[in-house]
Amino acid sequence: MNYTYDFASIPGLILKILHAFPLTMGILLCALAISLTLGAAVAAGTMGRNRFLQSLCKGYISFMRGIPTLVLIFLLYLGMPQALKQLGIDIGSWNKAVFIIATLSLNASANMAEMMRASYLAVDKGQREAAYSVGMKPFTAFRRIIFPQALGIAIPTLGNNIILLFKETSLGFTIGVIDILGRARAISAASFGANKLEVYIASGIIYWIICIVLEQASRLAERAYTKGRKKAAG
Amino acid sequence: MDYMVKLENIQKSFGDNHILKGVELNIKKGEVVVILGPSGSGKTTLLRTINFLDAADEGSVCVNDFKVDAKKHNKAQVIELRRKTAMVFQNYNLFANKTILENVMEGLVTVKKFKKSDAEEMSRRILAKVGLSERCDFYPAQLSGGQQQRAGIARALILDPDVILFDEPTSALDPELVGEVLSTIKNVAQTGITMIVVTHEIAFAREVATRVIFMEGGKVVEQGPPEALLVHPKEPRTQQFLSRITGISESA
Ligand SMILES: Nc1ncnc2c1ncn2[C@@H]1O[C@H](COP(=O)(O)OP(=O)(O)OP(=O)(O)O)[C@@H](O)[C@H]1O
Ligand SMILES: [Mg+2]
Repeated sequence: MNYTYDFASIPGLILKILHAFPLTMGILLCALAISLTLGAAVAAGTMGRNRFLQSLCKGYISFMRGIPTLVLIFLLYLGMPQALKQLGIDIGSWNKAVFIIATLSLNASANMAEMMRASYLAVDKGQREAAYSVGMKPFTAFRRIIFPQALGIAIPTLGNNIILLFKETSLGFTIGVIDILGRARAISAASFGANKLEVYIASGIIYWIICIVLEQASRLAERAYTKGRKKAAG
Repeated sequence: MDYMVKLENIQKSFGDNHILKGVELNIKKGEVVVILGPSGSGKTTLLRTINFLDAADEGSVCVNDFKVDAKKHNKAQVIELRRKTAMVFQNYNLFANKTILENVMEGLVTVKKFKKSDAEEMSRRILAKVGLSERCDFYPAQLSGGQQQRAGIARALILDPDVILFDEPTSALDPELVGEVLSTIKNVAQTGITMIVVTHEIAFAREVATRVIFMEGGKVVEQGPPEALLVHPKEPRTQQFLSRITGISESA
């Protein structure tokens, strides 16, 4: 082997790959919003009184946690157009990012639901009783007392879930989405794979740095949000 | 009307466990009723059936002429009843996500729909009365147990309830903090508000109560003025209980 690696090219590659940053962030934010909404509904279902809904939601969580993300991508990518065609909707022309957003939303909603349920149950039950004792209605007690405390409990897990979600956006390349990894592969392909290693190092660095930023943001958010409320701070 | 609180035939079971076995209680406006009884006799459960934190299985609760039948109550009645009562908890249960000032304001703003500025002014005034002027902007976790419980009392008091329910308000406190909370409760009692207090503080009961009730096995065993019940109890079970707890407090 006489191939020499050109590590000096990496900064330049990083800048090139970063053109795909907005798309990756767009996918992340869409999937985050949808998975939180869906997760909230599923979490509510698992804790509601309706037994049928309970098992349905638990089954959903179990399925979504059990199925590998890649399998789900292919299921949706191949299955969704067919299924929707039956309903008279043609999605042949849709942006491929839709499929990765759908996949990640479904997949992450299970984690989000579990996170919400655990955080909700972690709020001391005396808090709700105190709210009731001053005459609050259940929804008011939830909105003013329970939810804000559950949120504080959830922030670290939420940060983790966002990081996982962010890393999984990279799976979009399998169906040809030109996000960060997709673009990296495209750059490599354009030079017939000559700078393969450098390209992957560059994209690896990008993912890593963004993860660090997300992690710090989550830490700061938690600290700011629960400031003074915890024993340790007093 | 003649009674502020009227409990009729309160029955309550948890599963197969029959806890309250037909409690009857009539309390006049301004009375300070202390409830004594061994652990597990149903004191906490009784207080909780009054504001429906636990709904009784049978019987009725009537507060200031508003009567709710345990068997056929609805949500609106329960809310209404809770708005006529307030509760002070053994573990304070201050809202952990709110400052002391916000804790006291919360009910005024969200339940009684006071303007925020009015609610704040009233809350500051009442917090000054319980000696917490300097602690308004602290979170509960930053206060001592005694301070938290005084804030809990302020939170109950500000709603101007028809009756305040105290469930062992000092039993989670370090001994040196009990006094400050008891004297706060004493001050509240002197305002003439109707109170039901579950406590093992016999000296407090003697000084502040207008009536003492001894409960055991989910029933009222004996009741009377503090002197009569605490010094000359008629029922052997009351005598036994009193000698046991005064024995403990003397040896402590
Ligand atoms: N939510 C519940 N589920 C099942 N059992 C309960 C529940 N709450 C109370 N009990 C039972 O009811 C009985 C009476 O409890 P309660 O708390 O009313 O007693 P208490 O007189 O307040 O006792 P203590 O002096 O220890 O506070 C106990 O045996 C308790 O285990
Ligand atoms: Mg108790």
